[in-house]
Amino acid sequence: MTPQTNPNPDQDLEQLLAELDAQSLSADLAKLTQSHIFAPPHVDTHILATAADHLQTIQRPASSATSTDAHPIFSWKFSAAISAAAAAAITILVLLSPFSNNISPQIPVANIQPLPEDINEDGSVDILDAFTLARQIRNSTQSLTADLNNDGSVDNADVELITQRAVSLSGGGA
Amino acid sequence: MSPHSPAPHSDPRDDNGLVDAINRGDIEAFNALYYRYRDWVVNLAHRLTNDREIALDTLQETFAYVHSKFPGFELRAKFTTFLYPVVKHLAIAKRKKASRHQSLDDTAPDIPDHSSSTDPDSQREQLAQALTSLSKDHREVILLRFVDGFKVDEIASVLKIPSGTVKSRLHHALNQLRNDPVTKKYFNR
Repeated sequence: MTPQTNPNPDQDLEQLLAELDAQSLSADLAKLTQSHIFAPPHVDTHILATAADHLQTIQRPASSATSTDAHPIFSWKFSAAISAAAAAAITILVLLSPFSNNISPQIPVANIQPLPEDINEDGSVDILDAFTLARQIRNSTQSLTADLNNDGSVDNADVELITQRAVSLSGGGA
Repeated sequence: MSPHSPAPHSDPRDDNGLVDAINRGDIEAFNALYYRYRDWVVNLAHRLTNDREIALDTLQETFAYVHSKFPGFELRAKFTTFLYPVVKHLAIAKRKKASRHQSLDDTAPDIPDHSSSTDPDSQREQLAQALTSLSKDHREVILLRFVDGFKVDEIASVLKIPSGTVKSRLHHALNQLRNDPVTKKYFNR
């Protein structure tokens, strides 16, 4: 078969495709072009928090939307730097504070299922949740369930996730 | 921590169902749509730029663009046919910005650089070379067809060119690959 001599280009293409083992070519090209680049959890968190912030304005009546809804989109790198710094600061504060064990937990609101990030169950996700989780990790006297990034352990990465969410949402609310 | 954060859950709704829900402000539906296409977007952006940072920046800006379309977004074709031009535009713009002082082919899809790879499978490198020997337009339709799984009319849509042009490019690209010693093995059916 010589495609160059066939006057019908569509037929040429069909003949080439008929000869082609497309499955093998696709598989080898997919392996070749697979990037093995994965989005880190803080990138996911940043993107989804920004989207949630926007989509909440759809749920609310237009009259209740405020100018803070249309906040600028910060880079995930900027946000990650802030959250990492904040998480580190919280950890240091918890480790150094002699009073941290005396902080009373908030009373949970009845009949409201708290978000996983709402560690202190006060109905909102804010920097206090990161602080509380950091304290729980430091004390390690209880079985911790706040494995927010699903990596099999409750650690500083989970504190960072909460901090990320807290600094990403306008007003700090969930 | 695992370098790859898995989707927290799979959503049984199809893309149209998710889009309808997002138009009503359903944040979980957006999350599901994001996790469904996140890796595809990152992979495409990296394929176009060979740059991890740009790929992740492109991921962020692509989904910022996506959520800005809500409410009122209508999905008239496959979601990837909507995403492809967005990702391509953002990724190439970022690559150009990052490489202002270099002379770069600003529209050609790239393939991973295997020149420094220790991959013992030299066939991958040979396949990469065969792809590189194609013109940028021919390479792009080959990758769209055989990696991304687009049909001819979908390729025409995302590239904003006539279907006949897509067929012509596919024909020439496949013919070249059939005559290449490395890739002719795919044509022995």
